[in-house]
Amino acid sequence: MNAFVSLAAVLALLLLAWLGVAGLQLHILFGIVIPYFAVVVFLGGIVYRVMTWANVPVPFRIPTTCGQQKSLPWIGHSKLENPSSSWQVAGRMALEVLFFRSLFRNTKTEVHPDGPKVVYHPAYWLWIGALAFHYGFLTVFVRHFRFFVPPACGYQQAASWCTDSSVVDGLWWALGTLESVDAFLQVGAPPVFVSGIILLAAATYLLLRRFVIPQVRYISLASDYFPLFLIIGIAATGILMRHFVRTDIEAIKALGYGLASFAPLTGGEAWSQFVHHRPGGAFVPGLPDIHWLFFAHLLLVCTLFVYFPFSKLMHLGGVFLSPTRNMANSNRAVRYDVGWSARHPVPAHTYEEYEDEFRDKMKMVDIPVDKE
Amino acid sequence: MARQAKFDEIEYYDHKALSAVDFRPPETGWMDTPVDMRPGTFIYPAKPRHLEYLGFPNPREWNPQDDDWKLPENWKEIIFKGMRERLDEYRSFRVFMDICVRCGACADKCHFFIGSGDPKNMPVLRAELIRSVYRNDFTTAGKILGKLAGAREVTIDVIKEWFYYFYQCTECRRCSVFCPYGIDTAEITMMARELLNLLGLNVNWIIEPVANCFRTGNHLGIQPHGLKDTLEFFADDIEEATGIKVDIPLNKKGAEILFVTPSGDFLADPGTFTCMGYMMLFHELGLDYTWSTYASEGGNFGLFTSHETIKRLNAKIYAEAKRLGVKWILGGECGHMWRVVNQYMDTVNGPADFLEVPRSPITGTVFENARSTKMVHITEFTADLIKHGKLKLDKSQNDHIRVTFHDSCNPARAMGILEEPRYILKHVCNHFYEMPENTIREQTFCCGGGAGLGTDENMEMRLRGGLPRGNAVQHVHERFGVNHLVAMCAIDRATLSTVCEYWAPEVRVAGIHELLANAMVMRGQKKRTLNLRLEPINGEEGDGDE
Amino acid sequence: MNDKIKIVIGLVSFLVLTSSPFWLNIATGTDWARPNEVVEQEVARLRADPGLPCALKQSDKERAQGRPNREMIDKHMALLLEWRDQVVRDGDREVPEWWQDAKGQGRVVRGRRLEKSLSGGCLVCHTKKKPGETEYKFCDACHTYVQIDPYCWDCHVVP
Repeated sequence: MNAFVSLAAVLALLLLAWLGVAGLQLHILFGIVIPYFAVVVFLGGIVYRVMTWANVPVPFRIPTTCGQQKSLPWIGHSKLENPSSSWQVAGRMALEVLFFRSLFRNTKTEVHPDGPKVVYHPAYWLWIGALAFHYGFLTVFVRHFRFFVPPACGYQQAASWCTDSSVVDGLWWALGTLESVDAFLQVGAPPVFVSGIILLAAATYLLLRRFVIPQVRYISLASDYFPLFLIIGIAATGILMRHFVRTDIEAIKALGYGLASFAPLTGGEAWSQFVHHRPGGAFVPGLPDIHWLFFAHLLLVCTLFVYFPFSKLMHLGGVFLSPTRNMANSNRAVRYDVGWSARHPVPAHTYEEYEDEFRDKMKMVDIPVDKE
Repeated sequence: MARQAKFDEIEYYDHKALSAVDFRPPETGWMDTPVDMRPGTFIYPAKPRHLEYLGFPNPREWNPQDDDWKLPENWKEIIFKGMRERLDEYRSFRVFMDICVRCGACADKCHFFIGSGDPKNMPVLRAELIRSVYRNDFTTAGKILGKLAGAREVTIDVIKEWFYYFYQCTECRRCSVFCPYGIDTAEITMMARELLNLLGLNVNWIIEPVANCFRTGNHLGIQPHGLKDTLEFFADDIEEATGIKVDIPLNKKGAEILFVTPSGDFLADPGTFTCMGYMMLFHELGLDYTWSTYASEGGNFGLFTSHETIKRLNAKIYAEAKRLGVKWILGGECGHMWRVVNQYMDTVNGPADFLEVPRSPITGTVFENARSTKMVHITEFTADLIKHGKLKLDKSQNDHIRVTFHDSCNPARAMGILEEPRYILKHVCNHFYEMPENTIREQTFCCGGGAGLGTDENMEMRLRGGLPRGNAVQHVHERFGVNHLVAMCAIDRATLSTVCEYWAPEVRVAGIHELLANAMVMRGQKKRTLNLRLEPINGEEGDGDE
Repeated sequence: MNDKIKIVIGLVSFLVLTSSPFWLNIATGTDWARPNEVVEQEVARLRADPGLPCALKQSDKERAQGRPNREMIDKHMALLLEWRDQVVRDGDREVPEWWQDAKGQGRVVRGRRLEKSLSGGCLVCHTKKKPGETEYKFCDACHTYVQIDPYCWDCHVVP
């Protein structure tokens, strides 16, 4: 049921894009208005959510220690699993964020009723799937920057910014290198990007395990299926567009650059994106020349952007703020106090009260007392 | 059989039935599956007089199996307000409510899930029990989409579910080790229990010790003369085993060190033998130390109640250290006590600027890692002694036993004290074997009775939760002939005895300082023929090849 | 709170990185153009010679509206790949219909018989860089604009 609703929602979005663009010709709505809205909600929403967390105190230092503490100098200290300084915490966090260290520990537990026997198998697939998914996504995300930044300098030497273009050229060098590595298979024209395939495969794996593993199916909510269907939809439409349907990439870049330079509707160049003909009479491809599938792709991405800050996808920010991971286990060495104790006075049972109650009994057995 | 066993006895539980864990989730969705409050799986409510003594809300007689739990009229408002306050006070709570992706990595890491197959014992679903209410009351998506977003309104049935499952979590943090975001179910359980406490839903196994501790200084309610009695009794046994009369400094002003240990070690075997071990060690060292009757509890069942209660109970230790004028504090073998000492003590009751940075009077070692808290773990202290050759140890006195070591949850995952106890063990016995690596160190399994669940009316869950640990013990028993499970935690020593009796019947439980004391050659001792349990130690070495 | 400063720094870094295209475009200005001029020149040049065969590939509607060959814009890379496979793997050198003369052979344009080939076909008419030239021509005008780096010339000699 949860899965069905999520799939239906994604299909409805595809249908919406088709109706809106191929049918109602709402190119400006789908190509310009919705993307701006989505980016604003995405960035604003993330700031809002992270600041909501930041505004809540962390009253206690509660790291989950996964290795030997720092104690006597001759006992080997596990600096990354049980950090005692900020730098060690940074190391631990780097392992978590970049390599999913904790997920790497994953095991599968089986209980064999005979004996009984509890058996633990290493279980790396979730870790592999998660790494593939996230790095695939990251690569795809970064690759798309080419649609939003100026073309490499030299393209138009007359442009004033080209006089000092080291930033742009460096960026292009980085993006170009990323692309050529990503396209190392050199299959097809344009070549297949491995990252896209990996993203699609990994997302499909993550979806399938939600169907197949009974426990995971039992806990899965619509909000677990929806982003997976959405991302599968994004990857699928992207691959479809690049390798099967194909559309005018130059016009798409014009749109992307127009959006990212806040000039999608103004200026001669940008205006021509959707009026087809420039004043001079020459033809310039514009928004209507782009296949509707592109707008479907874009709508799914926009949906993801809008959905992101208000969903579990915020683990992107949350992973950095988890007190069990981002704190040093140095409590006994360095006092930690952000005011919890002052905010929470509690009744005490003082020694005087205690002795008053038990003084006779204490004296009876010669336990020293303060007041005779 | 003369009589039928009852649900609070291990004989009641058929091995085969308990071993055949059914991992198939129910046909009904988890929101539509009500709690089955069956005897053996829940804990009796707190008695009203304890709540009254502590000034906790809603003291009354009630029964979890009744329909009417006698909640305050405005209980929904209390829960809502309680959640709001905690969401604004504890970032852990808010972040953990927000970022779980339900990947399921934690699912089969919980001993209660492994032993019961109940999906609501998967840490992720345990958290969802409260997360669903959070979504409903505090998030836009939950308010709009409702059940589709995994949100549900808080009802009496939800509260019953909370009571059942948040007193079916031992706050052991094993799931937190495996969670890619470090989501710590212990934190969530602590919040849920705080909320339940606001409604007067608490269990007697926790609240009675809390009330006792507040009044008498220890969970067991041992009064000062009783404590002296107990320690003198231990001294007699020590004298019988070693021929040495150890002294018992009690509430001694001006002593150098205040020693605090869990009161469980005063009362129940085998913890008592560990307690004797401390007394012998301190006597042998000629340590200038003192026990305290006022701060006679290292443990802190406040941890299982609320952060405020942690502070209330813990306050006595610094207060007593100040009153007695000691230089620093030494703490005994305990599990959750060390979570409190390591993570809360200094923050809630510090700064302990009236104490000195702990320095071993025997070796001169300064415990830099306890520079601020001024409280040292006994195994840190003892490992340092052994390293400096300050103890005369005859390992062969432990040759008749084969030992494995159980890392207790809190020292392992809330402190990381893994090597110190092993170092000691390797110096006091010749036959030491580790359990499989997925069951020790940071991946260690709970005894099934921590966090205030170690009571006999909860026997079914204790045995189920004890399965992974018990099975690992049985494994090293079969493989290496291990017959002693050593743990540095008072709750472990009590509950693992039951777990072992059921799952690894030929293994018994001991403490580190019990083994240390048995191996220690004391000045002026008579020939040792008895261990601290007053059992013969010689001539029993030959059972190694089984 | 010390911790809050760190969070804000992290958040700002994230924002700057994610929205970098916006900042970059503001910083570098937007006075650049799509490759229209190059394309227009090309189109004007080719229109001056109505005998060129490629226009045949255009749909009637496109021709009537003076619009370029949509299918060629979108799919030329696939066509080239298809030709490569046909020529290299199957030895099928039959030129496409719109390049054929009455006998089914490649038409002769500018003194060359069109082949089923990029350099021997398309580039007979379309402008290309001559050795030493840096100015963008018909193909690389768009390719550079969108940052496409075809790997054809990794192996083939630049014609």
